[in-house]
Amino acid sequence: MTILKITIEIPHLDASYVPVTTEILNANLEKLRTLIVYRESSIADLSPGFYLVRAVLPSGEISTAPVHITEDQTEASVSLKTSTSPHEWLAWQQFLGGYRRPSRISQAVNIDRWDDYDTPQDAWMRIWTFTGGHRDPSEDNLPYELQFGWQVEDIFRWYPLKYPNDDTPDLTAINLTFPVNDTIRQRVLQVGGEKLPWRIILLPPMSRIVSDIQVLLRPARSGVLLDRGVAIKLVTQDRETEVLSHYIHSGDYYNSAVLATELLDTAERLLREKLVNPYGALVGGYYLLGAGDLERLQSWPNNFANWVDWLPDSAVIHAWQILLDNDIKDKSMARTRLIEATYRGLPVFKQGLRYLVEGLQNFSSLAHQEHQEDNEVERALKFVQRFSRAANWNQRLVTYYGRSPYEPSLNPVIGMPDELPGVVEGKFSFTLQIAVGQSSDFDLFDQN
Amino acid sequence: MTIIMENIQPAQAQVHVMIIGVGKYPHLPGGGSTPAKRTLGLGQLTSPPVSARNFCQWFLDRYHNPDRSLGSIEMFLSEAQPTPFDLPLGAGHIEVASARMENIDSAFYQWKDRCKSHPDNLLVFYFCGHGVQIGASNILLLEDYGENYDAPFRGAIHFNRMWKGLSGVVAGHKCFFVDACSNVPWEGQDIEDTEANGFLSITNDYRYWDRLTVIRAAVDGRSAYGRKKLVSRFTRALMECLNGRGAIYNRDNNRWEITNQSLTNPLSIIMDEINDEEKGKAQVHSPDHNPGVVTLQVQEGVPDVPVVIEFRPADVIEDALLKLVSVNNRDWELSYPNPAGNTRTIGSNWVVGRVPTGIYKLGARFQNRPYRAIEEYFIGVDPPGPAPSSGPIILEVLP
Repeated sequence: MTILKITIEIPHLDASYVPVTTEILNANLEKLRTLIVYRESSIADLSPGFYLVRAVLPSGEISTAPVHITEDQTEASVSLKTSTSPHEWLAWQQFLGGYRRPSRISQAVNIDRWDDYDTPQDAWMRIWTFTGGHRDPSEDNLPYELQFGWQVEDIFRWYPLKYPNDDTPDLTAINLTFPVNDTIRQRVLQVGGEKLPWRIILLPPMSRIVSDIQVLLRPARSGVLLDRGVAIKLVTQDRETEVLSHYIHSGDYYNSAVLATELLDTAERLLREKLVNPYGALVGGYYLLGAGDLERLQSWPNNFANWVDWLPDSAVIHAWQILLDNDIKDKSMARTRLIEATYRGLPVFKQGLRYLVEGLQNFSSLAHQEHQEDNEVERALKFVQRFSRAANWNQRLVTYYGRSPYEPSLNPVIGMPDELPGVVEGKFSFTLQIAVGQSSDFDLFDQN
Repeated sequence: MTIIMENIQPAQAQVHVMIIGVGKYPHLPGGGSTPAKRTLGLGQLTSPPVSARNFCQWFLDRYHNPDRSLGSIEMFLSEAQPTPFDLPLGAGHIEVASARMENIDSAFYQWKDRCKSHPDNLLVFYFCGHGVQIGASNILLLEDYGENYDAPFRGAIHFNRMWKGLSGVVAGHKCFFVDACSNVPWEGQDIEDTEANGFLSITNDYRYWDRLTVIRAAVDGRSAYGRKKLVSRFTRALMECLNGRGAIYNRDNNRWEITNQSLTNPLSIIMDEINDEEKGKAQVHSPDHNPGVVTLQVQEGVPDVPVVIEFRPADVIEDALLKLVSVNNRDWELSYPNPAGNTRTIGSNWVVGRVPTGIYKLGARFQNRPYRAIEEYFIGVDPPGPAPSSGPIILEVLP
């Protein structure tokens, strides 16, 4: 019997912290084992023969390597190589699928090329922090706009990375660093420009330990009018959570199952110890809802919603656990949680926004079927639909367009913030040059 | 109602398929009838009926699943020139009902009842045509979209309500494949309620949501594409997966299967390939829901996978003698060049072609060039390809 040592090479990244779902297949490509490999791992007791080691990355890239174990071998090794990023600072985004190199087969490029657009225009970024919420949901007198207290953040430092970049002038990355003693709150990033419609992206709720968020601006792969050819991808440095989150975004529950189990164990333990890692917990929660693994959820969504009581996603996850659990006959707590979520703000993840809208729609329809009107549900639904209608649903993190976090709109708002009354330019706003695309019509089926 | 085939076995788990392909929209520009109140920037299509026909043909010709025999296929087509559908085995042809709400509405409930008739039945819903997103809802437009001037969406399916409604009443796995755009039309911004038909009441009964696959050809806000009169990108990719590239080996059953889970990543890879090949705008599909595992197709034999091997430096294969020999199957080997001409090189790539899944030994000799021969280099060929490593293997040949 032979011990097989598996090594994963991820250029420019320390693979020790990056979980990679890896499979061992025999010569007939029957799967023998699935394991999570952090840079290297070993499996014992392999008999002589041919094997294929295969890793499916969150970007969708598949890396395989065959290995031949002979009769007299006690040890064998195999190395899986992943594709190389053109820049060290882009490696994590590429690994996750936020940046893709053009196909190696035809070298055809199918993205909105930066070069196709106008000359570079000024653009800017800033952070807003949610300071409202925590109200009694029964006090419904104030308009939602006033209930939502959003402030331009003034405590963040911005770091431009590799900009301007001679090799890849159409890529720009910024690192957002949170203070160590920062309180975790709901925050959004707003990006706009002279010709770039203003858009708002929910920021992942970061723990104080792993706090960097990288913001990548790159050419969009497909045209959406309000994106003007600019895609924005945000990733944290929380390796496990981001890997799982990107698997979920691509619908790949098969390859995320083993990793999700590990992540949830950690999230649950932290929750029990009141050492909250809300980002890990919410990604784990969405995984379990998406995979339909309700038994695994048990009681922790309720604890999550109670203990992380400012996070809309925790309320949404608990609501949907109740809705999906056939053993729970009284669904009224789900209704309460969904309404509560709208008082906390907006879910961070696209799945969360969808679950929130669909859950409220269901309660609204149920009331209508009984010829009644559920005013609380209607108010909450009306509120959240303002955002869902202005959302770019292709994004992993909730993204919508508008002048401010509380003014979602598909009517483009362009320009610099200080030109507009009532919008204060934060002193840490960072101005950078990006190319901005010309308007393109919506593309319709059959136009190729 | 157009039942393309029906072989109901009430005691067995079966698959019941509903296919809708809409290309003709009389009330959209170019349709020849009174324009709809809201035309949503849409027009006539030619790819959807072709795609729907191909998907239907795939079920008739290639569907193979010992767990669930083919119970029924129902199809609706709206095309500029309606053409009968040829039935298999020379059984004649059949006129296909148009994809109008009145036809689909009456058929829907019977199809739903067929799907409910066994707890392990597989429901397959396939739509190809115009789709729009209104609010958070995906609306699928039928031929009679816009016929009612004041309530244009009476000729449309409220997709979210439909799949949710079915998920409350159909116990078996439910697969929804929607090959349509999900653009947000400017003309739809003020719509509170489309009045599109979701067929079923919404309930808080979610007991069967753990067996559900919803995959749409375009993420919300984006487009789906198809070349005129040809099968669309998404349907092509889906059928590629079902034909083997989405397969995974199931040790318990000792067979290659395509499941709702196994096709997820291959679908992305193949969509990327097709995006690349079509050289238009990239299309990004949306796997919305996918809990549970169901076998959609059982591969007969070992799946074939496209293989591309890239050599470096680029000129090294100009006069190379190449050979690929199977480790699993001693009878299988392929050489280049060979008299049959069934494999080729393009640039620096040996585009081997489709190769049965397995492990292979590659050999290469360079006749007039000063490079070292490759005696034995192992490569793994596994779905979805192009194997290995979802791209060509890069062999750097040493002088």
